[in-house]
Amino acid sequence: MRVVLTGATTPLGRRVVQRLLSLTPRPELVLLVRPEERDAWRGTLPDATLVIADLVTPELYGPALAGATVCLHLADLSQAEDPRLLEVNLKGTQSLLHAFGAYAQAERFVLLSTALLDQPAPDDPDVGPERFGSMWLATRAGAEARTIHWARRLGVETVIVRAGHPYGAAGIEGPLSGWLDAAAASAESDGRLSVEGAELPLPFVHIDALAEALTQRALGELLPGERRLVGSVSRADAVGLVTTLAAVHDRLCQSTERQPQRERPRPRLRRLLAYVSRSESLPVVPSFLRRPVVRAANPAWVTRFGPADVGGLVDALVGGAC
Amino acid sequence: MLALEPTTTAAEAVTRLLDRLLPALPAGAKVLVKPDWCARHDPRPAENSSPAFLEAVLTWLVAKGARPALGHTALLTPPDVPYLSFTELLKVAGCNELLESFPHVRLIDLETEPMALRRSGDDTLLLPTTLAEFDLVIVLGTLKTHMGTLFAGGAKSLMGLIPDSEHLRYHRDGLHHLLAALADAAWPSLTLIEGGVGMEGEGPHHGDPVPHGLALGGDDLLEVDCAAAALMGISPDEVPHLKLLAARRGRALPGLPPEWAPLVRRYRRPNAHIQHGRRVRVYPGDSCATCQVAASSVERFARENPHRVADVAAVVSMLMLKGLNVWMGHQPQDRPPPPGELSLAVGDCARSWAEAHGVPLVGGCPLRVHEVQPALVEVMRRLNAGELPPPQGGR
Repeated sequence: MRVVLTGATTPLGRRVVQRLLSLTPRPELVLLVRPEERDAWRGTLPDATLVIADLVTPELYGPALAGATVCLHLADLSQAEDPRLLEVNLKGTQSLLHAFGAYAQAERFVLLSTALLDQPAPDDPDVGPERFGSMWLATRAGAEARTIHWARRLGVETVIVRAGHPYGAAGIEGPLSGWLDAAAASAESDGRLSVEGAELPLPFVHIDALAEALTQRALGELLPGERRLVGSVSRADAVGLVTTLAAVHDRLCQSTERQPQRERPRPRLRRLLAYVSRSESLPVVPSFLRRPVVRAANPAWVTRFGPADVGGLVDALVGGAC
Repeated sequence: MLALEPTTTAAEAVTRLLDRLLPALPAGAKVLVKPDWCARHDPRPAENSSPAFLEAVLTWLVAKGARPALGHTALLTPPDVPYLSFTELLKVAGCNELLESFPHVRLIDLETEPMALRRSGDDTLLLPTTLAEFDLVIVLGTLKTHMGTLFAGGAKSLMGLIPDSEHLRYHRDGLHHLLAALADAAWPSLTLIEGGVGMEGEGPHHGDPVPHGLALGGDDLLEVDCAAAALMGISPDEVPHLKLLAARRGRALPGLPPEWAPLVRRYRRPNAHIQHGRRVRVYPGDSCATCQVAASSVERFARENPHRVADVAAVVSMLMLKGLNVWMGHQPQDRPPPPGELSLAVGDCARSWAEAHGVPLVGGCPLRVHEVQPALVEVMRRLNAGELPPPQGGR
């Protein structure tokens, strides 16, 4: 069996690789690795074929997929700027589907998605962030929609694993990273977590369990612990969860990392321009001088939590709140 | 078979053309119509297949009992910019209202379709598996010049069949060669060229309209494209991808039917550059949209970051006062930058040219807007400050 794997350099991907290599007979692995992560694998996996290429360049890595029957698509950026999310999560997935369908002998495709998506994948493959309030979730939903369409058209067995947020390993990145392990540890016992008085079901999963699940999926086997691994929360709850945890996050950041205010005042012209570009009360200011809204906020969030929190929420969800 | 009709109206011309070209279309035939669409808002005349022409084709097909579908890929965007969605593409092309009149026409976003490998000679191409589901594929083109290929027609329009990521490869690895391979591998059943209004000069996007008043078509892509080019006053010998296509098929380049000679108009050939405002000249070469979109994002940067006074001042100074030549794509080595004028090259395709002529380069392939924007602004700031002197010629 020849297996294509993306996201192999993540903590989750490394565990999946180890599990696959421990199988008998040992499958032949093809690891698609971004150029900037080339050194992470150099010399460490003599049995795997390393293909250095961006996901959006199928013409470069496509020929290396020849003979592959299974693809495990684990590459999922969550802490990145919107352009990178678009490139890797959405366009990367689409390009991989094109290449895997064309160059490989596709039998099974496994897509790692997120349990924060609780609705069926949208029909619209270009669903925008305004529907989800987050570019990350929108790109995940778009990737699901494109994968489902591809699978239906090609008749390839396809599994979408809407996994909870993994914990239990250093180096995990994600919208709830860093302080996640402590919170997840208490959630592990009963699947719930109490923060700031909120009782919300949490879609957490231990990274080893998820790696095992994905490996089994790659082999086409059912998973005994499937219900525990594939969490589901409503979007409103997910937003509430992120809100609450983001508040904790912010306070942690304030106490440990917040830097003092500017040491010296900004120049007067810059202050004036900053005021003009943000001011809504100056109708005479030409539109090109106004600072544009970076992301359109989800109206539901605005209603529920007030506009002042929206920026922080979005930042918390896509990372980089501090 | 080759046919030409004057366009009194698009509907009449298309009806007469298709009556001649498809006299025995079986009822129930599955027909894919692939329009010639550019991903630009506010397109110029002849830049896209006109809604009237498309409506005429669909009307004729429906009247004959065929089952038409309309398909197109997403067109090229930088990797970090959202796809131009299919619904958005329909709007840009002015066809969303038109298609309300054809509720049974299937709309296919070819970008989301599975791809299959097709071969032409030693070249391997990704094309939608969907093509094999149709009895007939009709490709629409327009009479227009092209700054990269001199002539755009049916073969160039076929690039709307390939996925977003493949577009970049075509421009990077040899546009003419891969265009010929594409035309060979995705040979359409019928090619229709709309020429009620053509485009001359800096096509396919920035040219000027030319009333020509005809439409032509045929079942042989090479014959149709050669005739269309000849009708524009362009010898097919001058169009590299047509020459390569003829060679791939082992054929000589077809000529213009003698009876069509009175219909020839001399279209103005494209310049090597587009004049942007009074001070900026853009030399696109054979570059793809990723370089073009990334380079043009500098203006957006200035609008969106007014608080970065020094950077904005440098950009405004370069674009509006001092002037700038922007070079992209594979440029001929014997074309030097204008001596004494500031120049900037963008994208890996222009690397060897830029190095040969001492022009500062912002490289990369594919270019990401969010990565290239700060680099471009930095180079423009240094150009403006005189840290990167203009080439003096003779290099």
